[in-house]
Amino acid sequence: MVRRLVQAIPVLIGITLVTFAMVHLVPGDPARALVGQRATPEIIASVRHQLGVDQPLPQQYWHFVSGLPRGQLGYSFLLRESTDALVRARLPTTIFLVCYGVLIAVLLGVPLALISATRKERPLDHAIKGSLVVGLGVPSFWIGLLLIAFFGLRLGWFPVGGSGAGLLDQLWHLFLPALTLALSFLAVLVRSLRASLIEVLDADYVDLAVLKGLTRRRIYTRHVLRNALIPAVTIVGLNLSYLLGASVVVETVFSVDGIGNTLVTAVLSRDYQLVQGIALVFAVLVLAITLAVDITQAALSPRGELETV
Amino acid sequence: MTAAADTGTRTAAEVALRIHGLQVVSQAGSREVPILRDIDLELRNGEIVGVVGESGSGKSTLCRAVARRLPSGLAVRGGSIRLRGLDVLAGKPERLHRLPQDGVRMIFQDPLKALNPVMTIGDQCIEAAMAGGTLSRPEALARSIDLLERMGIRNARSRMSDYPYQFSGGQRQRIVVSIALAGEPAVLLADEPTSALDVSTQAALLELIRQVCAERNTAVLFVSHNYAVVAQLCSRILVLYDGRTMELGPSEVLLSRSRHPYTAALIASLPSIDHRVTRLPAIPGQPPRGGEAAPGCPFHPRCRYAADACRTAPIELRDVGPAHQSACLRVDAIWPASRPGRSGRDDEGVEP
Amino acid sequence: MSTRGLSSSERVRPFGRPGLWPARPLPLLPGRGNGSLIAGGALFALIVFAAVAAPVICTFSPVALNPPDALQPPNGTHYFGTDQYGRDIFARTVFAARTDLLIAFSLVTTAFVLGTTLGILAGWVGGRLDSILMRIIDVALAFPFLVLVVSLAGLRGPGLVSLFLAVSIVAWVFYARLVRSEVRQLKRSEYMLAAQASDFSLPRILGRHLLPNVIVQPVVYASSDLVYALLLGASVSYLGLGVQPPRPEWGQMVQDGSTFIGAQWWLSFFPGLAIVVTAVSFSLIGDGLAHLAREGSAR
Repeated sequence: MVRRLVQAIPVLIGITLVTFAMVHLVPGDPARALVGQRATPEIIASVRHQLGVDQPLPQQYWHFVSGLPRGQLGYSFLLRESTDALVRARLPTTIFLVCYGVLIAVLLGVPLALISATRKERPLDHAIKGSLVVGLGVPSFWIGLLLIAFFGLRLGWFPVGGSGAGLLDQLWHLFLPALTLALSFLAVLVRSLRASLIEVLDADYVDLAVLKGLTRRRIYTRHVLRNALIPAVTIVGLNLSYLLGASVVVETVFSVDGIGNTLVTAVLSRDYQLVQGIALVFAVLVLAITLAVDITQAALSPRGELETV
Repeated sequence: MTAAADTGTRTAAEVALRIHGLQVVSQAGSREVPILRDIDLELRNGEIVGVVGESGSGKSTLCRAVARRLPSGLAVRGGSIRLRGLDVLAGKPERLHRLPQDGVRMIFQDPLKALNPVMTIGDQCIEAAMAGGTLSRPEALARSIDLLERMGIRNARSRMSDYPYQFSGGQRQRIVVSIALAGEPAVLLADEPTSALDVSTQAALLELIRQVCAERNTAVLFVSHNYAVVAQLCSRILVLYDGRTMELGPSEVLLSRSRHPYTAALIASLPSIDHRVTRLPAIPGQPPRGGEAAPGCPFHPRCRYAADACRTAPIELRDVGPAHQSACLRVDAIWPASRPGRSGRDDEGVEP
Repeated sequence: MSTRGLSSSERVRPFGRPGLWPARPLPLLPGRGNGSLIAGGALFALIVFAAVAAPVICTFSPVALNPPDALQPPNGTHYFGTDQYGRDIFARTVFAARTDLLIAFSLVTTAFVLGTTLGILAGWVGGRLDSILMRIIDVALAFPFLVLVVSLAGLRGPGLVSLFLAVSIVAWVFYARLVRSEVRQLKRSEYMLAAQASDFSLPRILGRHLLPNVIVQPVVYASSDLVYALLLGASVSYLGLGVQPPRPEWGQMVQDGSTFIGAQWWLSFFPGLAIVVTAVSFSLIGDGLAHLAREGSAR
């Protein structure tokens, strides 16, 4: 475990370098971009000074990195708030959305994968596999819009934007976005889960269990699912990066005020420091959660190395 | 030694398993490919019968057919399997599996795959013992510990909370055997249980199986590609090739007086302590890949005694001695009745 | 990230797409890969034909503004209806195929070429070059792919070129990782040792012996990766950072129509559908290829 933490350090450094480079090596003058074409040289100079871009690059980098442990991620000129204040306000929403989405995906995906695996090569399996092919190609923004059109506007069952206040309200507001996220992930989840389920179902210990005369239910819960869910957790962990990326699009479609949506508006309005800060947050988030999942996985499985059964 | 179930009802002479005319086919697409053809076999209580064959001969399929765990795509096309009178093939598989005792249990080749890696062995054993519905949990626990100790797992009680990965391969196989025997089966199907073990562990496991099954009068169908192992353990041997019985008879008889070229070749290729061999004879050619229901003897392309008739004539098992049958057409030609034995082995046939 | 407990056919896909790492992607459809390949190929051919023959099959221009005819639902003249400027959506959708196909293929090709080259280099040469490359890959993978692309694309200013550049900077990473591990494995194999011992020149070894063996996997990936490239291009354009109007592009069209989604659903519906259909054709081809690759290596 310690080894993993140590391994993460160069990556962290790399992340800071990249986010820094992202913004500071961009062609054009950030100050001018913010202030516009008509500004006088004095204004530009003063803005440049405010942004700190009149200092040499290494110094700017140091300033950037040293502020990080103190939680200073920069300042959003357009929104007139410090980045970390913005992040603190909006990150929870994004995390909530992603967790919600994963939950729905798992609730939908596990039964589908189970049905598909147990009825392998039969009509239902073919139908599910066929839908997966289609599902993989469905853009999340499109399905999100359709859900809005139908369930939000036409039926009026769910609100079409915002994230609500309070747990229940949030669950209601974020249902459609979470569903959209889940649907975009579902195809991959079911496909991988189906594969690992088939391997599990094939295992000798399942035969042993059947021959013991156990009820079907018991066989599934104690033998099949337990062994198939471990890879499912891994699948979710590996796709975390993708999920966070997809949440950016989903947040935009549904006008959810999470960090993804904020990132997009920041990019569109050339709010470089904000972009930098949020990109950094995303990367650190992925890193941290990956580590956490790794550790939990190791702790949960009875064996340090789980063999592929 | 406690054996809670009433094995006294199994008498030595009774027939435990009767397989008659079994046909298993593979339904690949629209074609049906025969996997097993006309298999006849009887097992009495307490008898250990071996089934020997190369990979692809159908020997594992035989076990699975009896256990009603054929993989999807395979189906029984004909014949019957009777377990102590019960028609195994009739009705749903659960009917067979839910028998509280005197049913069928199976042990497998790969000890790692045969145990659920995320369940303690204690849970798995207790599950097996309680499955019949006759024992309470504490009783099942006691019985499991008993069985494990009988199978040579020391400190069984404290090891009940361990996971499969904490045991060696040989130990895992013993656990698998105790799980199988917990159900007090009438027939134990052993599908290459020793193939993944080293020689000394193999020997120990075989001896254990022999003892424990003798105590309980459990019949054993022991399937393997390894003739030496089978010859060691089994009283009778069925030699399988391309899904068909080539020879069937008592194990010593087959060793000294086999009456089928395939069996003879198998035995000849076994290294022997008794006499030196400069080259290990191998059987030329490859086993058939299945997919053809070709007429004639399936072994004829590789048989040194093959004649024209072997290519086309239908294959039948005929008696060549007491409780000894062979499917070879040319038995009389290859092994004429009285021939002075030259080196104590009477299976050297006439040169082709 | 630990990949234990996974079957060997589960690994990550290029373009940060959901899925898992190397070896073989699973063919989704039953039966021989040929069925998949044929169906996908046919569908793809149809789409390409439509894109190429667009001026011929479309009666209207994709860019001609025609306010009086605005917001017509699908009908006999305008098969997919018209948008808020009176433009024929059918024409726009068909013409947009050109853009989207172009994007998908160029993105994948670039990533493939760059990634494979770098992967071979790193895998073969090893040492410092390899370590540096791996570190770069690790850092790149720490970011959600879309986040990286969005940030990079936006910083240069929205547009097709920005999208292209942004993706090129990052997407090669996945191919490089895949190829590198293949090369490393192969390098140690007896086959390669024999080739080296036979005193072949380096280019010959790399070209004739290494490349054919190592190229199969990335090609199979690339084929199914087209799906993600297509979706990525469309998503970035949807966000306003990719293809700019008036050049028609499906993602951007969906965004255009989003304000009308309640009553005039057809503006967003058809371009999105086009994405799905095209993606399905890519998937089918990819699965067919994967199946063939499996069978080929199984022999």
